Amino acid sequence: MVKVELKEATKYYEERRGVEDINLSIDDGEYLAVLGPTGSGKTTTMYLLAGLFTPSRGSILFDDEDVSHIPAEDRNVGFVFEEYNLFPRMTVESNILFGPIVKDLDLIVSRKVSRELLALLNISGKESNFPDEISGGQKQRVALARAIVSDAHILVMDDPLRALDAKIREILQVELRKLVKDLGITCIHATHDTQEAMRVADKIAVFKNGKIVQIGTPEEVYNHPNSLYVAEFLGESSTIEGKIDVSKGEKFLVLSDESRINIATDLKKGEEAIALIPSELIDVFPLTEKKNLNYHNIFEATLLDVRCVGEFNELNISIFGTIFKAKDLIGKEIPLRKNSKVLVATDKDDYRIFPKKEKENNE
Amino acid sequence: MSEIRFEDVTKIFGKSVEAVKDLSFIIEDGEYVSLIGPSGCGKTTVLRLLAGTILPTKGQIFFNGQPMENVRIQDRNIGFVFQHFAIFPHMTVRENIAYGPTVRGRSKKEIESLVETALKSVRLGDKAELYPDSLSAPDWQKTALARVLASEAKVLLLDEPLGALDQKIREEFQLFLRDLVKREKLTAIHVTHDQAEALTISDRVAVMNKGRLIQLGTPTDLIYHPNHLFTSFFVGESDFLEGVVIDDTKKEAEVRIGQSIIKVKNMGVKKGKRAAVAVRREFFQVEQISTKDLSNSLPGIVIEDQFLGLLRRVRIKLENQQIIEAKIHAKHPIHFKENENVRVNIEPSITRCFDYPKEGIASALEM
Amino acid sequence: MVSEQRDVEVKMRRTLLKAEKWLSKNTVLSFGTIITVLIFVLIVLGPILYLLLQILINWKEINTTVFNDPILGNEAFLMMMRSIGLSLQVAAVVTVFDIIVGVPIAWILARYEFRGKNILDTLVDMPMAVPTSALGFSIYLFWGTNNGLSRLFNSQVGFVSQGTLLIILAHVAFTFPYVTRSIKGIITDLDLNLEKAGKTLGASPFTIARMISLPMVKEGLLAGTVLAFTRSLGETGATLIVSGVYQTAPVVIVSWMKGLKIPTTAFLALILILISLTLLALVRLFARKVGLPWGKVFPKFERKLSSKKVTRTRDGMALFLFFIFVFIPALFVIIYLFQWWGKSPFSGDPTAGMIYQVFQAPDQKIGEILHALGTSLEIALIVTLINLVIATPMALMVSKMKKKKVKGFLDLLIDIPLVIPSSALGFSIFFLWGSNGMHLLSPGFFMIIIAHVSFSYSYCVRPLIGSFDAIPTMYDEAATAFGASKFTAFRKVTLPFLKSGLIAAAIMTFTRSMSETGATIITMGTERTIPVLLVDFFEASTFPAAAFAATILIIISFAMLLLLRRITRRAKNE
Repeated sequence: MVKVELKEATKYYEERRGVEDINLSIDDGEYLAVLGPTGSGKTTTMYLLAGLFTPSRGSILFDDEDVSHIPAEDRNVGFVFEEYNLFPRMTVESNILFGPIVKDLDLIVSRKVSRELLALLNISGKESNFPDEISGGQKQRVALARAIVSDAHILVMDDPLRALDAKIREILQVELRKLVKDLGITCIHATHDTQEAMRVADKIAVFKNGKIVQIGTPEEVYNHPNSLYVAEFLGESSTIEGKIDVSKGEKFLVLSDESRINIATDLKKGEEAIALIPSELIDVFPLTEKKNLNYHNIFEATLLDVRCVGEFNELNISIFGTIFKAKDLIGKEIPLRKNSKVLVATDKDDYRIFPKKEKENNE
Repeated sequence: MSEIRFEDVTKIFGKSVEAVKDLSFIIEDGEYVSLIGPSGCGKTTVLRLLAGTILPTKGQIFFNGQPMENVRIQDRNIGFVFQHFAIFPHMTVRENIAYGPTVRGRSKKEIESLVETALKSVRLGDKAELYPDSLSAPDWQKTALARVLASEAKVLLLDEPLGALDQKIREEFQLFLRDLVKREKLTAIHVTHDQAEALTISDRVAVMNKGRLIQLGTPTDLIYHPNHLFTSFFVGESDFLEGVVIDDTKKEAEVRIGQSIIKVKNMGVKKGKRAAVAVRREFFQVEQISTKDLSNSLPGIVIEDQFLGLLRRVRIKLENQQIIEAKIHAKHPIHFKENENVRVNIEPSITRCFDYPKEGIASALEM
Repeated sequence: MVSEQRDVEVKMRRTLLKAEKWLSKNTVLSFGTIITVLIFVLIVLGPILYLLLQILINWKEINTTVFNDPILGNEAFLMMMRSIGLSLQVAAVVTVFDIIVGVPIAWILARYEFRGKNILDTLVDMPMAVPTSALGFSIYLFWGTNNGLSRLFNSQVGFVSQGTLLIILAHVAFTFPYVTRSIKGIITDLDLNLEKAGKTLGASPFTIARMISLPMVKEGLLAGTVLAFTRSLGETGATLIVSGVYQTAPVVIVSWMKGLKIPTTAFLALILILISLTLLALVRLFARKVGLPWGKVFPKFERKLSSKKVTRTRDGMALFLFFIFVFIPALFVIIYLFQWWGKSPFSGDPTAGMIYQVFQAPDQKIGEILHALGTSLEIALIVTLINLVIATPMALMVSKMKKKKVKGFLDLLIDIPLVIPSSALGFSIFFLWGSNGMHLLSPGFFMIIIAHVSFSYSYCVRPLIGSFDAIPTMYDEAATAFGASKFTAFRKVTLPFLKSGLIAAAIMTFTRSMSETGATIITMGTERTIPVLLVDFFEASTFPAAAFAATILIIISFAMLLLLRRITRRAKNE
C-alpha cells in the first residue's frame, strides 16, 4: 500500500489562509485522525490529499512520488464525505460500481468485491435500493464501500460520522477501525470529536487555525498536551490559576486564597501558572472516607449538583472559589447527595500546568 | 391542570407506514418528559399528534380526560417550540411574543401585561424592540419560549429545541429550560436525540423504537433498571451475554455462559431457555486472574486495552467467543496486555436477564 | 375621547378576527376551494372544452366545410395540413437549435463567474419579455431588408427573404430562453459535492456531466424543450411579419378568423390545442422515466472531451451563436430607428423618416400609438389585478395539496395556457363568450381582457406556487398553534413572506399581457393594442413608425424585466 507525506503543504483561498506549512507523514497502513474544531483546516487538508485542491505551496507525496499536481480523478484516493454524496439517481450498487465503470476496471471482479464489502458492513440486500430509501448509517457505509471499491490505495474521510446519530456513530467508529485494519489500507480521518479520534486512530494530529499543533498517539496527546490549546480542546477540564512555590523538593500551585495544590511541573518558583484538571481525574468521596484515601491532594468542598448523563455522573463542585466539573463512570449507586460536603482527591500528575502567558496567546 | 393520556394510539401514514403503534401512556400535570430514540422512531409523530397537526389513525388522546379528536390545533392550549425557532422574521421580538394574545383578540392592556411578564420570565426585556435578524440563536429560542408563555399555553411541546445551539450554550439552556417549565408550572414534552440532555432535564424519559414505546421511566430507571433489551442497548452502552438459564429460582437466575455459570437478575426467563444477559459496559469489573474473591465471574482473553482519555475500553473475548467491552476508569491501576488471561466480574444486581430474541440480537435491536 | 377610540379599535379588531374565524371554517374554506376551481375552469378549461364539444356536436357542418366543400372540396383541410406541417417542421428545427445554444449558455451562466455575467443573464431573458411582434419586426429588418446585415456587404436586397428560414430565425430568438431558463436554476442548485465525489472516484469532467449532472437536469430540460417547441408552434405576432406567403397554423387561424370562416378556424384551433396538450402530458408523464444513454465509459476519449480546448471552443461557439442569431437581430430595430430618424438613409427624403411619419404627416401616427399604448396598459393592469385575485388561492391550494396525484394533475392543468397557441386559446374564448356560445360579449375591450386573463394565468400562478412552497412549514404550524384562525395566520404571517412573490407574479402577468398579439387580434374587434398596431404599421409598410412603436415596447418590457430581476434577487437574498 502507500506511505503518505505532506511537506510544508499550504493552501490559500485568495487572501484567507486555508492551511499553512502542514508537515505530516503517515506510514503505510497507519490510521491517522486529524482533529480540530470547525475552520481549523481539516477539510482543506483532506481536499489537498484527494487532489480536489492543489497546494499553493509545498508538496504531497505518495510513496515518495510527488502527486501535488495530479488531479483528483487520477490519484486513486478513496474519499468519504461528511454528507455521503451518494448519487441520488443511482442504486446502491451503481453508486459503488461508479468508480470501476469510469475507470474501465473489470466489473466482474469489482462486483464481487462490492458484495463482500457490503456483507462486511452489514448492508447486504440493499444493492438495488436508491439512496433515499436507506438510513443515514447505511448511506455512509455505502459511501465507504464506494470509496474503497474504486481501487483506492488511500482512504480519506472528512468528518464521515458527523451527520449521524450518537448511537450509530459509536457503532460505526468500531466498524471503521476494524475495516481499515483488515484491509491494511492507509487512512486519514478528519473529525471534530476527540472521543472519535481516540477511538479510531493510531495517531492524532491536532489542528488549530490551519496549522498542526501536536502529533502523537492518543495517549501522548491526551496525557501530555504540549499547549493549553490542545489540553482544552481534547478534554473537558476545570481551570485554576496561581503561582508556583517549592518546598521540600515538591512543587505547589498557590492559589489566591492561599490553598496549596501539589503538582508536577518544570516551571520555576514564583512563576504565574495556569492549571487544568481533566474532569475524569477528579475523584470525589464522602467525608467519612478521609482516612482510607491515599492522594497527593485532598480538599474539602461542596457538591452542588450531580447529573447522570448516561455513562458518566457529572458532578459540579464548589472549591477554591470556583467550580470544578468532575466526571465519574457510573457505578452501582451514588452515595453522594446534592449540597453536601465532600472530599475532592487528586494526584499531582493529574494537573496539566502551563505558563500563564499562554492563556493570553490563546485569546 | 393538564394531564395527557394516550390510549392505544396508532398513526399510519400513506397506506401502511406505521409511524407510531399502540401507544398508551400518561403524562402527569407539571411533568417534564423527554422522548428519545433513533431517527424515525416516531418521537416527532407523537409531538405532532399532541399538537393536532395530524390525527391518530386509531386510538384516542386525552387532555385532562377530554378527548382531543375534534379539538383543532388553535384550541388545544399548547405551545410549540421548534428546533429552527420559527420566529416570524418580519416582526420584532415584542410583536412575536404578542402574536398569540393578538390573534386571540385580547385587549391591548391584557396583551401588554402578558408580553411584559413573558419578557421578564425569559430575561429578554432589553431586546424587545429588535428584529430577529439582529439576535443570536439562544435569543431566538428565548423569544420562541416567551411567545409560548404569552399565549398562556399549559402544555409545552419542544421539538429538538436546543438542536441548533452550540454544545456549551446547550448545557446552560437545559437548566434554564427546566427552571422555566417548573416555575411556570407547565407540562413539557421534549423530543431530543441527545440522551444526556434527556437524562439531565426530565422527570421521566420515554425510549421509543420503530413507532413503539419501549420504556417510560425516570432517568435512574433507564440506567439501573431497564426492562427491555432495547433500553439497555440504546441508553448508554451494554453488552449482551448469550447463555442458557439453568435455574430460575425467585428473582434471580443462574445462567451458563460458555463453561461458566453466573448469577443474574432475572426478567422472567424460564429454566432451559436461551437468555441474553444485558450488562452495562461500565459495570464489568476486569480483574487479573490472580485476584481472589471472584464469586460471579467469567474468564476471558484481552484483545485490546484502548486509552480514550476520559476512560479506557478493554475488549475481551469470552470463552464462548463473544467479544465484550469493559469501560474502566482512566486511572485504573492495571494496564491489560494483549492476550492476557483475565476474569470479568459481574455483580448480579446490575444485570438484566432477558429472553433471547428469536430473530437474533442484532435484528431485535435494529433501529 | 381616547378610550372611546380605543374601544372602537378593539371592537374592529375583534370583528376582523371573528370574520376571519368564520372564513376559516371548513365549510367556508371548501366553498372557497370550489370557487377557485370553478373560476379556473371557466377561464382556462371552459373555452377549450366548449370548443371540443361544439366540434363534436356540429361535426356534420364541419365535415362539410373542411372536407367536402361544394366548391373547394377538401382544400381547407389540405391547407390546414400544410400549415400544421410547416409549423411542426419549424418548431422541430427551432427546438434543436435552442438546445444547442441554450444548454451551454445555461451552463456558462450557472457555473462561471465573470464580469458582465449579470448583463448576459438579463440579455438571455430579454426575448421572453419583449413582444414577439416587435422582435419579429426587428429580425425581419435585420435579415430581410437592405438595412440590416446586407449593408455590411453593400447588398441592395435582404439577406434572407420572408419565408421558412426567416420564421425559424425569428422563433429561435424568442424560444431559446425557455430552454436556458428552465435548466439554469437546476444547474445552479446541483450539489457540487456530487461532482467532487465523482472526481475522487476517477471520472473526468465530461463523464461526470454525462453520468451525474445530466440525469438530474433531464426533467427540466425536457420541460423547457416542450415549452420552446409549443411556443414556436403557437406564435402569431412575429410570424405574421416574417412569414410572407408561407403560413404557419396560427397565422392561418388569424387570417381565417378575419374572413370569418368560423367552422374551419374552430377545427384548426382544436387540432393545435390537442397537439400541444399531448406534448405537455407526455412530458409530464414520462420525463422521469426517459433513460439517457448510459452504457460504457471511454475514459481516454471522455478525458479528451473534457480538455480546456474543447470546452472553451464549445462555450465560445454558443456565445457567438447567441449574439449573431438572437441578440443583434432582436435589438436591430433600435439602430434602424436611428437610421431613419429624420430622413431615409438611402434617398434622404425627410417624408420617409420617422419624425415625419409619426409626428408631422397628415395621418400622424402618434395619436394612434398613444391610444393603443393606453389601451395596452389599461388591459395589462386590469388583467394583472384579476389574475392576482384568482391565482393566489389556486397557488395556495396547489402548494398545500397533500394528495400527490391530485397535485400533479392540477399542476398539469395550470400549465395548459402556457403551451397552447394563444391564437387558438383566443379563438376558443371568442367562441365560448361570443355570439357562438354564451353570447355575453362581442369582440372588444372586455373580450380581450378575458383572453389575456386566460393565457397569462399560468404566468401568475407559477411564481406564486413557488413562493408558497418556499415558506417553511414550521411557520404555518407556529402561526396557527397560538390560536390564530387560518385566515388570521395567512394575513399576519404568510402574506408578509409572499410580498415579493406577488410582485414578481404581477410583473410577469403584466409583461405577458402587454406583449400578446395572436389572442388579441382574434378578440379585439375594433380595439387596437400596441403589438397589434405594430403589425398594422408593418402591413401598411410604414416601417419607421413601426420601428418607433417597437422601440417603445422594447423599452417598456426591458424596464419591467429589470424590475422583476431586482425584486426576485432581493427576495432570494433575504
